Amino acid sequence: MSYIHGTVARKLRTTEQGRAGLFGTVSQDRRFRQQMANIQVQLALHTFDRIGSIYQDGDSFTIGPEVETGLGPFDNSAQYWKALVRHLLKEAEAEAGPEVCESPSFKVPYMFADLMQLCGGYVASGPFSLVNRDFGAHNLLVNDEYEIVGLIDVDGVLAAPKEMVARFPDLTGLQRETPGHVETENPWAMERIRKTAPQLDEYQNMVDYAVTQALAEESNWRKVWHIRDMASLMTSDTGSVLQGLTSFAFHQKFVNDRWMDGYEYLRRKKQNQK
Amino acid sequence: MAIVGAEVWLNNSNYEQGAGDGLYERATNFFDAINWDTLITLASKAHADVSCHLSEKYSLGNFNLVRQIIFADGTLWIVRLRLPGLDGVFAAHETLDTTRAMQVEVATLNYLRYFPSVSARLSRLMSRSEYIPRSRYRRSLDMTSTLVISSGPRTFS
Repeated sequence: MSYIHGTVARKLRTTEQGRAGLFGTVSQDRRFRQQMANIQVQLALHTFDRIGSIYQDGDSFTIGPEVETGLGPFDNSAQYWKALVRHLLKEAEAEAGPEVCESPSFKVPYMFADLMQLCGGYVASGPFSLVNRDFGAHNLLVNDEYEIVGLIDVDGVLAAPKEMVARFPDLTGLQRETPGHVETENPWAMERIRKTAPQLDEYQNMVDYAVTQALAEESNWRKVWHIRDMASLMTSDTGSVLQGLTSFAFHQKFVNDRWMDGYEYLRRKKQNQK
Repeated sequence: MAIVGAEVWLNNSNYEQGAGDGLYERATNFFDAINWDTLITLASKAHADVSCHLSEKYSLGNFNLVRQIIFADGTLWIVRLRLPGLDGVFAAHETLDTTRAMQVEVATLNYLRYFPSVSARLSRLMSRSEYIPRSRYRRSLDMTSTLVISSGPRTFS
């Protein structure tokens, strides 16, 4: 493939040892995140009628089995969620230590389906937008001014349910706290949360801006209508439920414990709303 | 000004020989096992029989080794080779076998390269737009032609 002159953004940031958490200067960092938001929205404009990874047959492209689970393609989100839960549990049983597997919080994936249903987001049919589930500064090539020049490792791209499309790139430090959690003990965590909160807000606005542009630019609104709620979905309860499931893949007991509390909080919140 | 790209590739210097994690040995053994002469021949055939050579430096990640192919006509490619699998922290988490996963990756690259976003105008605008805070863009929603844009490349690998 063609060589692109650039370095992985996260690696360049580590090498330069610049201001903590920023990609370059303040303005470079903001432009980098805006470009990330643009890419995320641009990918989401492409839709398919099933969930899975992209395959090529001559000049045509189809959706086939999804790389992570090895299954699919899926006709609706419920089928995909079921396969993903099974895959994550199987992986955890094979790789995680006993402190994870024997902990009560190992139940988090088992709670996913019911909670997603309670939040109104378990079963959905297409269209399904493209997303890179591994999107982040570790897969983006930048030049020496942190302008994005390339996207690498695209096997994480799939046509996915909207909750997966509307995720923060949490592998780039944009990670929401678990629902209902208020940190009061760990000063490092409190500082991290204090710094991350405005970044999350700003990134959500950047996605909203990119979506607004898409809606304004496209004369045929049917081609872009499916992304109209993308920004608001990023901070939705269904988004949180999905975040809890994907966090389970880290195989860390304290993370699972936190998300079990988060799931309980959401469950009570939804039941109180009834 | 930071140095980027192939100029900072470190070969297998990221890994420590004898560290006990097997990464240095995996990288070294893999590099030594590749028939680089055959690879050069294949690359030349794929690029209209233009002669080429490989860069001295290469880069290693957890899953792939990349090396530059330098053609006599100035064209630069990279070859990306999948490293042998590892267990534990560096294990690949995909269930699909490596061959099919590579097929998916190639298909995805081709799709993104040949199918631009829904609106060609949007594609150009989004690649070059400058972020405008929400408070400003809400007011300028009807004035898209006056949005500030700045240059910036858009090239996906």
